[in-house]
Amino acid sequence: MVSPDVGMPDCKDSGPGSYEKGGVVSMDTQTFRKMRRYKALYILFIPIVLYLLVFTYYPFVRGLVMSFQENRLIGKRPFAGLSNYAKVVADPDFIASIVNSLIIGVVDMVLYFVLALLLALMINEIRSSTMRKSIQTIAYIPYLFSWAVIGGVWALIFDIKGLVNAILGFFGQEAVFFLAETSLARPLIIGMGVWRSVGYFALLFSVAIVGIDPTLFEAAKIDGASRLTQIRKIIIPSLSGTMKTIIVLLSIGVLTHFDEIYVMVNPANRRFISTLLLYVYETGILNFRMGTASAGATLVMIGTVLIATVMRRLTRYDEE
Amino acid sequence: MKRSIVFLLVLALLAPVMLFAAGSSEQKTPVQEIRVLSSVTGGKDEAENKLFEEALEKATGLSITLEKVPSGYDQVLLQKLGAGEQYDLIYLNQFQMYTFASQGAIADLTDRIETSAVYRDNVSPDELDKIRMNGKLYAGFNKLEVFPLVNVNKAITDKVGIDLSKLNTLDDYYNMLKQVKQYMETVEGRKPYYPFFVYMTDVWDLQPWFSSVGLRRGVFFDANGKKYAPYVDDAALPVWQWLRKLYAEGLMDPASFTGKTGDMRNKMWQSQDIVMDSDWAAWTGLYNNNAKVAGTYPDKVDVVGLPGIKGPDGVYMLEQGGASLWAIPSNAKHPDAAFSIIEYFATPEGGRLLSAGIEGTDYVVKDGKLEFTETGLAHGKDHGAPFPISTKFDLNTLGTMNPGVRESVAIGKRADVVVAPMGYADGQLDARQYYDIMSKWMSDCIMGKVQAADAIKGAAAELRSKGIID
Repeated sequence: MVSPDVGMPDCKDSGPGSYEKGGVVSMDTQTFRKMRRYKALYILFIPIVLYLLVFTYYPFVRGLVMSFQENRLIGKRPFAGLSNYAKVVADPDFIASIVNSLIIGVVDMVLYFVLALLLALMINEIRSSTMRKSIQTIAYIPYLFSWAVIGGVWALIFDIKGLVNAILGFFGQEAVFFLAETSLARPLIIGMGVWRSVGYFALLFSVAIVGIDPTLFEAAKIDGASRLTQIRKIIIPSLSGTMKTIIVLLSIGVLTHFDEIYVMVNPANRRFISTLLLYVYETGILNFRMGTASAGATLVMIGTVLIATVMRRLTRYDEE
Repeated sequence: MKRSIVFLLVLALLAPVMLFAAGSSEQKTPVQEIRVLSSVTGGKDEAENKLFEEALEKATGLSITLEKVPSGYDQVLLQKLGAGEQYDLIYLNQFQMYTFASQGAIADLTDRIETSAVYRDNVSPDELDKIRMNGKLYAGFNKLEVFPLVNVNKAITDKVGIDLSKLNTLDDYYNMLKQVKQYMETVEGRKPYYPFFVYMTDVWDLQPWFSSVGLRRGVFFDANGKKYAPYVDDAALPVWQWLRKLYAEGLMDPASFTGKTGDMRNKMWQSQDIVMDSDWAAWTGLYNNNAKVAGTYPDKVDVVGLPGIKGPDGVYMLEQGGASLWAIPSNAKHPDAAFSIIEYFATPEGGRLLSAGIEGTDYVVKDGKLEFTETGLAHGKDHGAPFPISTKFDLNTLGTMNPGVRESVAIGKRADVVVAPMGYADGQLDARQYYDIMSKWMSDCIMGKVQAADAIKGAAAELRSKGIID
């Protein structure tokens, strides 16, 4: 039985809130009716909506308001106009952190995507199910570690007396001070991120690969397609939806690198890896300048929305 | 019927409000609940913190809630005050005091402190002058700050045959480190051995070396009212060059740039991976005490404190730690009661609570003397203030001190030693930026990426461009 509320022909082409000529049922009314009909489902949404309102939108609005106010921790905060934004934008450290964030974020994004895809394709080629699952788990495990643990592990590996230098020493090479070597600052941070996250994104690709209709492969085999052709013609096109999702997810993270920087920053590498969120944390939070911190954070958010929007457009995310 | 139900419902809703109103009208003297937000001060765990709170209540006659934040205090302080929570007393450091005072977040205590008999009788005016901002006082003391000095593991230098009393110049220290390195690498086979650790973040531990050229960390005002940073003065060049030489010759631990103070301390007493660092006077004793517990004192670890190097005017310059303070937020409900706690902490009795701890838990009094319990000894006679601010507090009442600490603390009282805080530029210094700029240029210089003279010029130019110096 078709619901009288669903697909009503006289409302089909109406824009939101518009009224049909001479009609009495608006889109709003229709939506309201639908909501009443499925009220049980809408009630289930309430906790989520409340959660988002309290923990996401309320702090966001408070932060936005604070970014236009003077830096005052207690009492009334006088309106400061755009002065906090002007201060942040005029700070050379902020500009340097934009550059660092973009370099680290974009390289991370590209490497996560490409390496995760390659890893997923390689894992998919392993015939032994036990081996496949084992490799998948091993690749995924670093994602479960906190950045503090990963920072510790990398310090042990790359310390002046660490594993890599021990190997270099074994081959008669001089020790390299990786952790404070300025030319290696960004590659190390990017490497840490790749090591931690590639397994996770590879898992997302693997799940999508498993979901591909097996009859496509059978048909391709019958047609005499090689494995490489099957990958090119079946697997990769089938992954386009997952690829779009991962690209948009990664683009949201371009400007928000913080934890890995926080655990690895030192006086020697700071200028090469200090990102926007570290800038916000140090300039705003540590110095108790909430207006300045909020202005910086708002700019990061605007940048993130811009990047994510561009990536959505480029990947035609909203198209089938 | 409907009306009756509505009437009953309204009555039921209003009943608690009416009862509360009736009850409160009977309260003639409401109890003042003083809310205190603390970082290091208080009990060592939740149970002891309750006892600390009770001891403080007993001493002041107030009803107190003491919230001790075990970690991440700065963020908690920011979140709680920013969210509008009201406290009567908050713990903060000197930089936070400047920031809060300039934002009007804490009350001006100048009149209260200057007219306080407790402060007049117990607190040195010199100490008060160190925390003034534009002549005003915005906080009272939690403790007396000590100073970092050179700590050397004499157990190692004795093996090498070095006489520590003859270390008078930068070259003497360089030669000592060189001899120790050679000994440890060739005789003890610990290669590579980096004998010196200096914590480069915040360029914090360098004062004993910059003393040799008579310069102090931070930013000061000159006679013309212009801000200047002594460490980037041309006169500082020999120290920058000396540090660079130490690194180039493998005498400075590369972990100085990446490690934390915890790493440095472990290397000093646990693994003896270094022979020298700069650390708090109290740590001379803690190194030895830790080694004692581990069974390595004094054969492998016997740390002694040294004042560093005399400057051109014949004095050793050491840096006093930034003050740890108590301030009253501008929205406090009970500022008078809060100030009475500040006063109590400045008395010898308050000092005893802040150091020795709680009577009956950390110590008992026998024949007028403190006898520490096992708990008290485990708590290291520190409940926020190992060295109380009261000039009348007798450290001897705390009994035996850790080996070496008495001698290290005594260095600060010598006539040829000047202990003073870093330059805060009357609260105008953006410490974070100063530290970042200085540690960046020093790291580049020490690691050989730029010449020392260029590094000094570069640091000065960057400090100037950010308005930190004029």
